[in-house]
Amino acid sequence: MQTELIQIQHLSKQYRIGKRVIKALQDISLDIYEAEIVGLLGVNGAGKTTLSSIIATLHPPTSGNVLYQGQSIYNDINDYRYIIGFCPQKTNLNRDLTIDQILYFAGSYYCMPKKLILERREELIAQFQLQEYRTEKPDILSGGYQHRVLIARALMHRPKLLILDEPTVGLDPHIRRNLWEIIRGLKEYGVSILLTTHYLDEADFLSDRICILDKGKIKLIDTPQNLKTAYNKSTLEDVFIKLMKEEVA
Amino acid sequence: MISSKRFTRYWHIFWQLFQTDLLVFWPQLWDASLNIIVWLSSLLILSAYVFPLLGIMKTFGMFTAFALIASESYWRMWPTTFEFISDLDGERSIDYLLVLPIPSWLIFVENIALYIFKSITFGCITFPWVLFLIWNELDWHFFSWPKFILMFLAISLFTGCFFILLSSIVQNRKNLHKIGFRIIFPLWFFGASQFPWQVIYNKISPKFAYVLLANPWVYAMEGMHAATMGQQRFLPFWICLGAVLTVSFLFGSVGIARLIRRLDTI
Repeated sequence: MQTELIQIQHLSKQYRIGKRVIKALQDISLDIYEAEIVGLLGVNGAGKTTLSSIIATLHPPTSGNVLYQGQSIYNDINDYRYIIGFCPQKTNLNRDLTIDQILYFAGSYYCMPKKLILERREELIAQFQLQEYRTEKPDILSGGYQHRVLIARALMHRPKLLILDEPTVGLDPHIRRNLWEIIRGLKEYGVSILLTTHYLDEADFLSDRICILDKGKIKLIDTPQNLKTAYNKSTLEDVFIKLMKEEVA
Repeated sequence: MISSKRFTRYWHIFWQLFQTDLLVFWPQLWDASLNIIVWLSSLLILSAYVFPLLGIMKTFGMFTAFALIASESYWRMWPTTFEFISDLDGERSIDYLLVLPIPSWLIFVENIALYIFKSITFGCITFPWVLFLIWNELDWHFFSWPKFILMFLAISLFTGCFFILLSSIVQNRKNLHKIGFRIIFPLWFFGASQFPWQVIYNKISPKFAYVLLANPWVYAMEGMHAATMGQQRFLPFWICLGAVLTVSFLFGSVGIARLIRRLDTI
């Protein structure tokens, strides 16, 4: 029996741009289980990044709630922040620090004892194969390695939920593959992952369940296999295209 | 009411953020100090040794010196705001900070604290240099160390809060340029940095002088000059100090509230 880690209940988000009101999310309800990878799919503007940034507590919802262990995260948001790790779309690393320093401070911001920080840093440096670059600053790293550092930074404090917003965008295929293995490996450690992606093969390969968003609403949630069977398609890409065609029709 | 355990935790994170910024700041110190020294020396040599030859009063060098020591933090607002806005337009490293287990307003308070720390550091570097440059022109008769230090700290706080307010107002890098020319420059030039407020009141127009009192930089400069050159020709020191602290609190709280709204954070 799977245990719920996060429960998202009737979440809505509206933005105001000038006089226009944009409904980015409408009545989203979704559970994320322990050690599960949920892939968030959707076209541009579907609300993927908005949803992941609300769960990451970067933005507040307009209405609805997010529960952790049955309690609203907004009752004590700073306690909830200890269990999440957030990798935004942009590689927003501190460009003036070395990789070692970035990881060290990432641990210290979560009040980890120094000994534990140093141990954890060694662990992550090895896991993400960053040994060669640990004394370098992010600017000299390739896009793939910068993403590795970003994920390693988010994992320093051993979060229970890792939120990855398009972690492989713009990367070469072999580097993407490499990151996929790393992400899959995290599940073995019991980390739940909310993965926002544009790449259907990525979602297919990594996700236990797929959540397809369209115009701020959940269109479907199911396992990749069930989706393919239900729509009688061999790939998730075909399912997605069929769904989008249905939408247009 | 915040529990002591939580307070300790917040303080720890705040201190770690400050440590991170210091780690970035120290390697830049030499370069930044050199810039300030060149800028300050050029203005000071003209004010203390050239302008008096053109008929300007002899104490103008000393007057300018203390205005410049305090103005360093004022002129740093522009590049600091530029950096902040560039981050919002670009990689948004602030997003990482805003999901740390600390209230978001403390992230902005840390920015102000760092700003004050930098002002003090640059002040410690520039002060002896200024003394060296105009040693013969200095009159220590009216100089008050406690008042000077108090006013210097208040000005550093004011400029730190002003930077946060500017960051909350300026929409993008292009707009900052406009704000620089339309707000930052006039506030400084009409802010009693190069003349005592009394000169406007007595020699030009009392009405115009009263209008200038709406400019907070007037209190900063008058207070600084009252602390270093005596009370006689300047606005009362304690009123200036009170005004600078009040405006700092106002700018800081409005700036933080606006930034939280602008970044749509929690």
